Amino acid sequence: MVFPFVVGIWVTAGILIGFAVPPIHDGNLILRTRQIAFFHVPMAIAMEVAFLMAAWYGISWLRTRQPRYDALSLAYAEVGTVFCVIATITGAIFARTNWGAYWSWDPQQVGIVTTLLTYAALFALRGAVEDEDKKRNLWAVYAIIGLIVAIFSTMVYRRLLPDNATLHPSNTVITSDALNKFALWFNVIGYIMLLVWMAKLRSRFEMASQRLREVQWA
Amino acid sequence: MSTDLMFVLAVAVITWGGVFFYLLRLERLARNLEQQVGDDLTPRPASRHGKGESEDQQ
Repeated sequence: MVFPFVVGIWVTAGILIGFAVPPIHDGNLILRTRQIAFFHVPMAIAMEVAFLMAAWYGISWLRTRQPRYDALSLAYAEVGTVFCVIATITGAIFARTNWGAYWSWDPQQVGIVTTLLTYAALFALRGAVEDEDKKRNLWAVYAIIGLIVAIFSTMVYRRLLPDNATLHPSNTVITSDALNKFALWFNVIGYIMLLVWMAKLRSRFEMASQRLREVQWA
Repeated sequence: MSTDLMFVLAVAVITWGGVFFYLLRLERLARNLEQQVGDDLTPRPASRHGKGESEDQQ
């Protein structure tokens, strides 16, 4: 019961630090609404971690046949999708203040929406299977496919294009001064801890609902 | 720090506070639910037919 309070204090401190850092420069420009970067970037990184964990627990289910691994895999994918939605919305707000439009079909924006739609499709496919074991086996494969799509569309695709094809800043905060770097990584750790808490919580509900279904059909 | 920024900071902290206390409430709810269905989430050995826990229950 200590972990949730550690997460609570850490994330609150992260928000306060994000508002206390000096301006961030992107080339000759000073990024406006820079505070959102300390929320948007950690959310995007935590999203990738979530999809990685979903694939990892999917493989664990295939190896051990422990239903709790399937529940954890599903939970990480669901929480990762929520983080993906938040990263998309905060990215659009950032784009509006810095580039003048919420949506400009930037490769990074297209990539994150591709990830979002992929996971939406995978959840629908999982929901369409009735047999519990078949559902878990297929989901493990879906989680691996989802991870590949997420990595390609949010991390690789943009880098395959010419430099002027995207407006999205690249390593701007990471190559900024020490205080900005500290604020970024402090928030990354905080939101990954939040991800772990939320995913474990979600998996407990999933396990309880599985148990109730078993009791109902027994 | 400007007034606008103070306002945004206040909104961010209040929103996070709301999410945090809602998650704490869900944590309590999950514990109660686990007690009711008798599920402590401890790993159980899988069956030989790959049916996992569901077969043990039946």
